[in-house]
Amino acid sequence: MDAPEVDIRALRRLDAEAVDTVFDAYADRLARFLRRLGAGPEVAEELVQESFVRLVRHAPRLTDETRVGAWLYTVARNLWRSHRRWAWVDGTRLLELASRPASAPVGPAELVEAGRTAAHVQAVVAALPEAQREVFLLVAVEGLTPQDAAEVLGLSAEAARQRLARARRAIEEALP
Amino acid sequence: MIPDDPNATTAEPAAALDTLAARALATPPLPPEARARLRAVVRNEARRVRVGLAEASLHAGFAVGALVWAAVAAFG
Repeated sequence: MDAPEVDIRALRRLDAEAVDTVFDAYADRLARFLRRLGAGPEVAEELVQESFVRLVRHAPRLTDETRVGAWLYTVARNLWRSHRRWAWVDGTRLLELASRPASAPVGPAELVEAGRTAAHVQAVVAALPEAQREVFLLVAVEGLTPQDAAEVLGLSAEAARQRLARARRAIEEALP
Repeated sequence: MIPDDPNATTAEPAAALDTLAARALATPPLPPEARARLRAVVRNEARRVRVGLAEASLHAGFAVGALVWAAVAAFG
């Protein structure tokens, strides 16, 4: 899952094609990341939209060194954390939980590998402490490098590496 | 606190676990209508920002022109 090539100069000029390319490359990835952090489908869509709106507003100030993927994941994660904080205050989180199906959304129903089902893996990942789940999702599922994941999470590379190692170990131990 | 296991990041088992998780945690892409709606919002915002930037440079151009004119009038 390689990071797509992004033409930063074209994006800085808000070239329509460059904006579309970034949208196509990251919209589904951000939505998946947000869903796996716990967002419902509507909230995930809303936060994906807001992440891209912020990107285009910030685009003229992007530097050649900016890694757009890491930038977008950082914004999406911050928006999700902010949304969750406020949702607890105004009660919409409770409504969202009440309207959600009893089990987490299940991917392919077939066995994934020697008795390990997709649902089981989902449950194990969902049960990880949030700090471990975030870094695991970013690296294992979204394909970010550990360095980029550290940047998204505001951690040192070493701290991210340790959290990732703990997450992988916890998953290994929990799988049959 | 769980001691860090240096073997846990060994490339091969970690890659197998990551592949397993990536498959299991795959979610369907955004529905086409939601995708189209989001894309339209993002395009409109990009257009709005582009127009704003163009206007800002125009005003900056006028300001510079006015300064040059004032300088020429004062010292020329």
